[in-house]
Amino acid sequence: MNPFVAKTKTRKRKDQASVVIFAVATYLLVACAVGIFFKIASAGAPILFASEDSFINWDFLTKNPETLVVFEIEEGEKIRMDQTDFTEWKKENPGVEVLNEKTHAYTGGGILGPLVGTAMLVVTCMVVALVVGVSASVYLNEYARKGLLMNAIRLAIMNLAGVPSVVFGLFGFALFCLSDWWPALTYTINEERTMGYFAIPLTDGYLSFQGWGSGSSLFAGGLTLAVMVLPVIIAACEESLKAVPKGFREASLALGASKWQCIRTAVLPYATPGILTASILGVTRVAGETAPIMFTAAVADKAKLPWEEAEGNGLFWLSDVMMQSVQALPYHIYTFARLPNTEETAATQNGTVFVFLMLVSVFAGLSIFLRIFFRNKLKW
Amino acid sequence: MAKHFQKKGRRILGWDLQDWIKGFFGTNATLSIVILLLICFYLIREAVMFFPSHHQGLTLYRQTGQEFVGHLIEEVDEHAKIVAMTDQAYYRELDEKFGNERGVSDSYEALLEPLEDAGEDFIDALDDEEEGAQEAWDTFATKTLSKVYKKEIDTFNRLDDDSWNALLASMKGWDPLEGDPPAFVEEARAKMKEGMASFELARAEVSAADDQLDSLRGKLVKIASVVREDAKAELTSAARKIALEQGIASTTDPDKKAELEEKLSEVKIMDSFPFAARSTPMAESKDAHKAAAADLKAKLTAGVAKLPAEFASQPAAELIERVRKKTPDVLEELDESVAEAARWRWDKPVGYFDSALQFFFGRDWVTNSSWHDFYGLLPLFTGSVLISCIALAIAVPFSVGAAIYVNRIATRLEQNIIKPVIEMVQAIPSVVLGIFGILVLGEGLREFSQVEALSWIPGFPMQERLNILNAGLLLALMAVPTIFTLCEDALNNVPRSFSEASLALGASRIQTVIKVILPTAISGIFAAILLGLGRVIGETMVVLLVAGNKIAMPDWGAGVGVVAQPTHTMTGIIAQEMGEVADGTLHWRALFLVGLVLFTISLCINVAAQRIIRRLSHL
Amino acid sequence: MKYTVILTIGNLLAGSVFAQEKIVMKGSDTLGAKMVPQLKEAYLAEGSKVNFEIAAEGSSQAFTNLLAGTCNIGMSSRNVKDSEQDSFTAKGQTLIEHVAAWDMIAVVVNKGNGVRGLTLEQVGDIFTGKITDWGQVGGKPGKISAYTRNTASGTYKTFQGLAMNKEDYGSSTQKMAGNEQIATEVAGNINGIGYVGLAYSAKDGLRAIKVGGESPKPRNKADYPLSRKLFYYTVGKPTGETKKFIDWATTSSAAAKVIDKVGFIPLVEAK
Repeated sequence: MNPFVAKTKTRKRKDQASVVIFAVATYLLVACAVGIFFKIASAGAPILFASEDSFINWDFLTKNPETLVVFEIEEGEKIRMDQTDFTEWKKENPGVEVLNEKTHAYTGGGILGPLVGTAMLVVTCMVVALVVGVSASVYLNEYARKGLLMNAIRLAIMNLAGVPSVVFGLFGFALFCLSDWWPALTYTINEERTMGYFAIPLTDGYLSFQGWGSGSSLFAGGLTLAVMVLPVIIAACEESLKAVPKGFREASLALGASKWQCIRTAVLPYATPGILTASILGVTRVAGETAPIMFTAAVADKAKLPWEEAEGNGLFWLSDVMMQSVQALPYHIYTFARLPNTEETAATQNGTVFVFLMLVSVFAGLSIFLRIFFRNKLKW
Repeated sequence: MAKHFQKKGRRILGWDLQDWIKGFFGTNATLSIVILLLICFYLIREAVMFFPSHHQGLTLYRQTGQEFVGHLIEEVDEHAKIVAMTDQAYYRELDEKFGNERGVSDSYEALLEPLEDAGEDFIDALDDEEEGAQEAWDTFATKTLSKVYKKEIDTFNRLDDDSWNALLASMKGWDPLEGDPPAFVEEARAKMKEGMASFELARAEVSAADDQLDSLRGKLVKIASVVREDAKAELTSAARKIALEQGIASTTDPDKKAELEEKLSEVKIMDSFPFAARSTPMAESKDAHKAAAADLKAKLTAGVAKLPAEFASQPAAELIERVRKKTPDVLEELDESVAEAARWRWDKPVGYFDSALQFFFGRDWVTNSSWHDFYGLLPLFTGSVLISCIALAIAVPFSVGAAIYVNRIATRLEQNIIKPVIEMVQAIPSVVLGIFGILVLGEGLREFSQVEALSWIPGFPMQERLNILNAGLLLALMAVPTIFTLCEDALNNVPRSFSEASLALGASRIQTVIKVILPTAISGIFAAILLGLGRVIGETMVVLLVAGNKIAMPDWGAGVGVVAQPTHTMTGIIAQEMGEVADGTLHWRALFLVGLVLFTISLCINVAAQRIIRRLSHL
Repeated sequence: MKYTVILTIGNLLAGSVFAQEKIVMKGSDTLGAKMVPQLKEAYLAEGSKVNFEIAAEGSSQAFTNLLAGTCNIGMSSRNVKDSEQDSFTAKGQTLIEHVAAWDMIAVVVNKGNGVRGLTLEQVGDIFTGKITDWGQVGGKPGKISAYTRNTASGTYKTFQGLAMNKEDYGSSTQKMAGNEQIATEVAGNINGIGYVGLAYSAKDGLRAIKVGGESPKPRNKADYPLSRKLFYYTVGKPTGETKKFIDWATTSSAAAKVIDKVGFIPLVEAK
């Protein structure tokens, strides 16, 4: 007896009904996703796009956050002005009486500081994570002898990919911010830091081991993020390396290539697309994280960009830049989340969220596109 | 070509180029392993050091006698719950019977406010009996009163229009110097008082039942707090002395030096703190405690018995019913607590195992307290688990359903659209979802829950916009891409022949999916769900912003409605409290221990999922 | 070789570098979320070129950072604790206290809630969890949602001392990251109650209730039971730009105006 045989008509109806249920579930999900993007875009777009001129509100992208002043000169007509403009304006119009003056912190100006901060954090993080991650996976995959130990290490790394980001934040804070033995190039020695005595004098300063600056810094934040994303990168790289057919390596070695030549010419080029896709996905993840940078890198308000504030020359300057704390987009949004979202502040808040989401989505979209592109293109 | 390959590089330190390259890669591999080991090391080091300090803290809690007083505090709190219910019943009954009178009384207070505020400006003039002062005040008062509307003042709509007008009329002669309410208000108040007299009496008796216990508690809390402060000062005196000595050595300012030296002379170091002597007041209060408890028992029973039996208001009747039911339980617990307190001895050692258990199963997480810091993981753990359960309960059916649809039913075009869209969800940063949850979803959910027709749903209408459900919904969305993608992979891995065979036997597509493909892919789907759980339980920003941050065990009495309550989570507490704690303190270590717990949970989840996936790939 | 390349790049990037003084302020959200950023802007508008950096997560942050030497001015809405003072002593440092402004902690309820005044004891009992229903204090029956600041906050601690007899907060209280958040939640929840700095109590949908018969208004500064001072802390006597800023912020009438505008009570009369 065939167990599947039933009355054709009810069966068909059942079949159709369940197809509909599955379709509804799927499209509900899609609708939710699209709905959120749409909601954020429609709320945030107005401040970013202007109807005239360059069509983009460049001020929003090129000014630092500051306080917004909302006031009236005539009853009922609200005027919005950044604090600095407002002070100027008042100097120029000393006679005008200002009514209903209200101020909103962080709501005026733009989001240059957070944008730059996020970019610098991401770059720092990705440089470190890619160098360490790619070479580590090359070693694990190409050089290391296969065995129980390697398997255990590989498994350990894979498993760390799922550890919550806040735990990495905790760890990064303890290791990178509080330890006072990280090397840095400085002009002066901070003797309060115990390791500060171990400074190597250079021509115009010291290589001092006194930790990284003011508790939170680009170094600390970037490295915390790098540690967080490292397992993901290693796992992805290994996968790409493994996908390169063994024959490529054998052929190359058979022709007399050295190990490095083999890797450089016969393995890496074919693994690059995979690594690239993975690292762009990594950028998405890193740029969006708040918890790891809350304690390690981000501050709510900072008047200048890191490089404007750094002192010194050459490498010393570079080192000082990296020891600055920064504003960052996710942290800026976290600050907003704790401020009221009213008629007067909503535009800036939604605009910031929109810009942030767009940036991250562009990278995410790129990685999805690249993956599909390479999958269609690379076949062996 | 061959020659090129055979070229030998220069050797540096005995290594040729090949060795150096290998070395470089190897170093990086080692580095990444070292970093990963460091994470474990740091987490474990700080977390493990929590236990001895926690044990020390609990020992101090016992030695100072605070533990004994803790029982009294708990007992008084339990009594307060009975009082709370009685009070609620009282006011509900009052509202039902004398709503209008109460409205008069309250509205009078409300009307007084603008008059009083402005009255201050008139008082001087009235005081000096200036000419026209009285008229000016009268006009002002009349004008102010006429500008006030009933619905602004009487928010509950207790008052009927006649009483409102009568009240306004009676207020017109109100004198800011006098301050006594007009006769009309007095009458209403008297009427209320009279009508509720017997209830009021019983209520007062219930409420006053713990007077003796409460005053004993108050007395002992003060003593124990002092003992605690002294003991702490004593225990840290050695460190303080060293600190002051270092301070003297490092300062150059003579005044400052003298000041510090004086402080140093005040620091006394004893070999040990006389806990036995200092905790005597607590030990000697055991009998007084028993007596106070007996007093409470007698008075409470008497008071509860005197509570009225008939009520005009249904909720009041229910509440009093609950009071009657709960009182014996409370009294029973009281007996237990008294017995427990009687067993307290300052020198009974605290077990290490017990102190560890107190962390994992403690129900209180109280920090920065002037009494005692409690570190109990349970409410945080429960919060995390509850939110994750809701997130998965929503995410799993949707994402598995979507995976089946995309993998088996959808057309090529649909696949090419749906897959990237769902994957894009993964890119939404959690802080963005958090702010979305506060502003859009939270507000929307609350408004939706206030729709009259939906009030039968447990937990509706919601008071809080930041609650478990809100966080759970957002986390569900975050879990969808993970579960969906992995599920789809799992479905893809089912050999074609399976479905072909099933279809060939005449099964429909749905039958094939449910009876053939799902069972085959089930372990893959299970792995997907596990990884989704890992993602959800470790999420920080959404729960920090949206879960409502209430550190307490959920009130299970609400049934399914528990999802409308706020809660706190393990990840949230780390993010919230990390910024404030000083390196190396007990609180700091407690947070690291929470981190370690999270780390372990996510590791277990991952290992389990990986194992399942690996076993599948060996198929 | 590589080193020189990086060096050159570094030199190129360096551009114009002048040593500029920087004032890093950390600590209380009550001060740092509204008052100090606006004081800063007013100060800069008067022609100063100093750089500011502000982080405001809670008063405890002020002392940990002052101790670590990672900020110049600590903002605090409570006095320094003995244990904190000790760690400064240990390093041979003195902590100098500067009164920044007066503040009143306003107890706020939802406007739709009929309650207009509570006694100090009732307020305390609500936050310790002894009173759980509005029916108990004469309001419309409903379960009280009590919103408090988080433990890092100075307001949290001050309120505990002023209103709650130093007892612990009840476990049913919800801990919010800032004054604004409390104001927003209470304004949206008819059964909500919370406490905020006076500056945050003027919000639609909120009512700052009388406590012990006194309403939180600047003129009741002395009688209102929940008044307190706000502080700046520095390690040692302030010098240079830090001194200039603190002097300006605590004594000038321009600063007083800003302080008044954001809703605190300045020490000097605003003109």
